[in-house]
Parts: sequence; C-alpha cells; structure tokens
Amino acid sequence: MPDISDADLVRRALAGGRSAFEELLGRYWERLYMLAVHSRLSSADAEDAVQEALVQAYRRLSTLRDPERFGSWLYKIAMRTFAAKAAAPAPAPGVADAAAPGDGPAEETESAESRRAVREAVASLPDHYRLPVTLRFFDGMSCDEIASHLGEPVGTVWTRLHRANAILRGKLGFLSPDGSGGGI
Amino acid sequence: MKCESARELIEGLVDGRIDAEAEKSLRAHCERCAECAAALAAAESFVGTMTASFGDARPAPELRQKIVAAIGAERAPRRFRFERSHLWTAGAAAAAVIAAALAFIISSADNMDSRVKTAGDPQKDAVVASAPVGTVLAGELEVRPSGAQGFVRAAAGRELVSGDTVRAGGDLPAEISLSEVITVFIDAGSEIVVAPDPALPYDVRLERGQVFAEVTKGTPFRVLTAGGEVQSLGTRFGVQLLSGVAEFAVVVEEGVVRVDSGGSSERVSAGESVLAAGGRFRREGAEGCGRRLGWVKQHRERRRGRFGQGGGHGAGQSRGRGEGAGHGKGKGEVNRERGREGEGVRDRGEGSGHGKGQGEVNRERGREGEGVRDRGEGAGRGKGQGEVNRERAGEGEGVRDRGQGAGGGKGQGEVNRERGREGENGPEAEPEVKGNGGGGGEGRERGNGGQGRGQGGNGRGGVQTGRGRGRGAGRR
Repeated sequence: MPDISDADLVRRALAGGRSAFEELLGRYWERLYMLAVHSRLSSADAEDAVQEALVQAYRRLSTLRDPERFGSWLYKIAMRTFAAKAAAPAPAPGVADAAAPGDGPAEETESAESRRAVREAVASLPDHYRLPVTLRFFDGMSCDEIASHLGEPVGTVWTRLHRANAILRGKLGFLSPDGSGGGI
Repeated sequence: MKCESARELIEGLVDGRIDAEAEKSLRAHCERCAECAAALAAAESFVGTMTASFGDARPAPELRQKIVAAIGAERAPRRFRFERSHLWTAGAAAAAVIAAALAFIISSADNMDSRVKTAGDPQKDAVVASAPVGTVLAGELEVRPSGAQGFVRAAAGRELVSGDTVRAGGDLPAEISLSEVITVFIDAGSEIVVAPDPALPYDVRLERGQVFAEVTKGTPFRVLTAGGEVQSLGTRFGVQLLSGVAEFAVVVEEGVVRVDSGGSSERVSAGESVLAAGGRFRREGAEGCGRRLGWVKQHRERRRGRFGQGGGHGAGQSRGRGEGAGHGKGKGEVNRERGREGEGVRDRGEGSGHGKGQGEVNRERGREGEGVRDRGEGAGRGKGQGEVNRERAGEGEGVRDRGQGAGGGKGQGEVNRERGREGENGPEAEPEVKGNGGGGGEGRERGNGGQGRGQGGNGRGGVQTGRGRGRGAGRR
C-alpha cells in the first residue's frame, strides 16, 4: 500500500472516511499506549486512557487546523488525558503492574524489576522529554526522524533526548562514558 | 580517533544521531581502547535495557479492536458549520474558508465510498452546498449560480459556492481561488463550474475554453471534462477543451498529473503535454507544451504588473501580540516566493499586508502562509513571531491561534516561550534579518511585552517583485 500521509488521512476522515481514521489509529495506538504506561498508569488505566484520547481526537478532528500537525496534536491530547488519569485518585499506581504479565518465575524478578525501574524513571521525566524517549526506544527512531515526526528542530529534539537519556542513565545506574559502566 | 571524539560518538549512539560510518569508526577505536570499549558497552547496555523494556510493554492486540469499536460508536467528526451572523465578518471570513476546506477535502478516488455516503445525507448536503468553496481573485469574471438563468458580474472577493458557473467575460484571463489552496486561471471566454458535486470542493468542470491551475502540494484537485478528467496532487497544469466534445489537451508545468480518458489513464509530467480523446493519448513535443503555456505566462506577466501597484503600503504597529495593521514587506516576499499566500491576502481584501515577521514566514515556509490567511484579521505581528516561524513550520499554528483571539492564552504562551529560545539563535545566523524586528514570543519571554513595531512603505518588496512594497521594521 502506498504511503499515505497522516495529513491526507485526516482529510479523508474529515470527509467522512471513518476507515481513514482507523488507519491513523493503527499508526499511533501502540505508541500512545507506551507513553501511557510510562506515565504512571497501570496497564488497565493505560488502555482506557489511550482509548479515551483517540476517541477524543476523533470527536475533535474538525478543530485540527493543520492536518500536517496531526501527530503533535494527538500527542498533546494524549498527554493531557494521561496526566488527568494519573492524577485521578482511584486505582493504584501503574508501575505496580509492571511485573504482572507473562514471565516465568525465574526471569520474572529480574526482567520485571528492570521494566518497573525503566517505567518509573521514564514516568519521572517531564512530558517533553518522555515523548522523544518513547519514539527513540519504542519506535527506534533516530534524532532526525523524531524531529521530522514532531515537526521540531533537530537541535531541540537532540537536546531533550540527550538530557532525558542522561537523567535515565543516572536513575537506572548506567554510568556515563567517563565512568565504568553499570546496570540496573 | 581520539578518546574524546569516541565519547561524543558514544553519546550520539545513545541519542540516535550518528550514522553507520561514524559508528564503524567508533567501534574500530573501541577495539584498541579498553576504556572507551567499557563506556560503549555501558551505553549499549542502557539502550538495550530501554529498548527491551519498551518492547516488553506492548499492548494486547485486542485493544486496537476495542478502540476501533469505540470510534465506530461515535458520530463522524462534525463538518464546519457557518454561523453567518457572527462569522461572516471580514476578519473571520478567511478562517472560515480554511476550516471549510479542511472539512470538505476529499482525497482521491479510493475514498469514493465515503463520498457517496456523504452525498446522500441531506442535512450535510445543505451545509456543504451553502458553504463557499472559492473566491473570485481578479479579472473580469461573471458568475451564474446553480439553477439561475443569466450571468452576473462578480467583483474580486466574491465567494463562490458549489455549482456556480464562472466565466471569464473580458478579453483577458481571470483568476479564482478554491479554498485558498488552489488558484485557477480561467482564460478569456472560458467557463467552468466550481465543485459540481458539493461533497467534492476541489473539483472544477471545464465547460468551455481552457484553464490553468496552481495546486498546493497534497491537495487533491481535479479538472473534469466531457471526455475525461485530470487529477493532480500538487502541481501546476493546464487543461484545454478542443474541437471534439471528448477531446482535450493537458499541459503540465510542474509536478505530475494523471489524465483519465475513455477508461485509460496516462501520467503527464512537467514539461509535457498530451492530447486525450476517447482513451487515446498523443504526446506533443516541447513546442506544444510551450505554446499551451503561452497564455499562462502572459497572464502572469500582466498580473505582476497589476498587483505591483497595490501591495504593501501602510504603516502600522505590529506588536508582539498581534495587534495593529500589517505592512508591505511580507507581502512582497510572499508574492515573490509563494504566490499563493499573496493571493490569500488579496482574497480577504484587507488592503494591507503583513509585518516583516510574516514575510519571513512566508518566504521560508509555505505552511505559515496559511497561518497568515487563517488569521484573517489584518493584524500585524512582531518580528519575534517571524523568527519563530522562519525557523519552524509548526508555529504557523501559533499565529493562527493568536489571530483568532479566543484560541490564544495559555497555549500560545507555551508556544512562544518554547520557540523563543530558538529565536535567540537568530543573531548569529542572520544578523541582518534579526535587526529588523521585535516583539513576539521572544519579547514576551524577556518581559518586553512584545514591543515589536512594523513600519510600511520602505519600498524593498516592490523593487524585488513589483507586487508588494514596504518592509517591516521594528525595535525591541
């Protein structure tokens, strides 16, 4: 299938093409979920929040002025939704379930502990750091690709990513190049 | 490679900003240097941990289905509805046209299902049919509304709605704009119907003579004829009806179009022209192409001369927050580099152009031009914004938000604060440009309150293009 830009899909969705929005959804849902679980939400809350954010985006699609900026616009909606959900008093903090799924007893401790630590560390980052970190490590995007995806200057993205990585390495116990290495 | 460079490359590896070649050199160095090798191992371990952790957290596939179902239960996004009583002020008109454009854009033939559905909804049709799809830009044009008997003279600025037949009644070509993203030149004596199907605002049907279209990239635009159609996604091309009912010629100046005729299709690229009839295509040589573009070139020449008289005078105070009248410099540059934006300005009939900042915006980035159009209020803006916009595509939104007043506030503040930082790099990059402005987000962040000020009439644009004069100047 030829690459159709997000902006084109937005236009089609606005012209009544629900399937166009579903295509957009397909491009973003996993990434949004990653952002959600790294924003102090449990898996269940993250699922709800991602759904909520995407439904909200669909409802408000006609207010998006520049279809070229759909991604950034959606991230903003999502971040707000996640923050509201995380601030809600109800269920337990999300990092708690990082250990839950699938690992056998032997691996569970180590890998679940590692996941929990990463989620906590990423969740502690400011929003504008968390997004590039997600794009970098979930999507494997380069600095240039992130900049182009977010419509931001490469320098800005690089600065954020670099600072974010420095914070994460500190929190997770990976020493910077002048140190001798480490681990969680 | 020195260890210092190697450490930088290691950081680059983590941040995803080194290429394969640099990585190769880094690894070669690490084979000889134990300390750097350890640092590289630590960095890779970090990247591995992060990647694995993100990879492990993937959601269950059912979630996607659940969201699709939730969206299926929603009403389709509402189309833009016109509240003529308060929206139809001169200021809001352009914003409304853009919003309508967004709401009505249809992308391509494979979206046909949704088009059919849309066309079958009487309530939606009523909204669509009454919404302007275009504007008369210039020239002697006559319009016959759908269902009416005769043509009436249409002045520049008149809105066109779906089904209007438009005829260039004078001796010279005339121009219309469709949703400000497509400019159509209509040759003298030629006739088109704009958006014959209300659900497809970017179509015109060529009834007589010839047209030439300048289409913003990514915009789905079609010229329909009795013998076939020409579809473009951002290009400049012309279509001419020939003697036979089903025969027409297509000439492409820039980009590529697809010509459909009698069940066959043909791609025509820049510098080519073809004759199409009953599914057959005959390519013409370069001479044919030049000949078919002749009237367009003449029209552009005339247009340049004409608009050179009018643009960009007017002194005004463009404060950082977007108050005051706009000025000429931007317009001159707009027209020079980005014809369409200039037309947007004319469409609104504001009478004044825009500040220096916007000039830069438009010169560098097409999309910000839309921002200018969207605002639709003729308010100038300070240099700060110009810098912002010059550097970044996205700030166009900020401009629009501000211009519409209600959308401003906090969101803008954030935008400006954030972008202001980038603006600070300006003096090194382009000191000359920097010196002309003030205000905008940067000013605000520094507590200067956006004191940028614009002055018109310095004549720079006019010299450059003949289409706009004056320049924005300011002080911080």
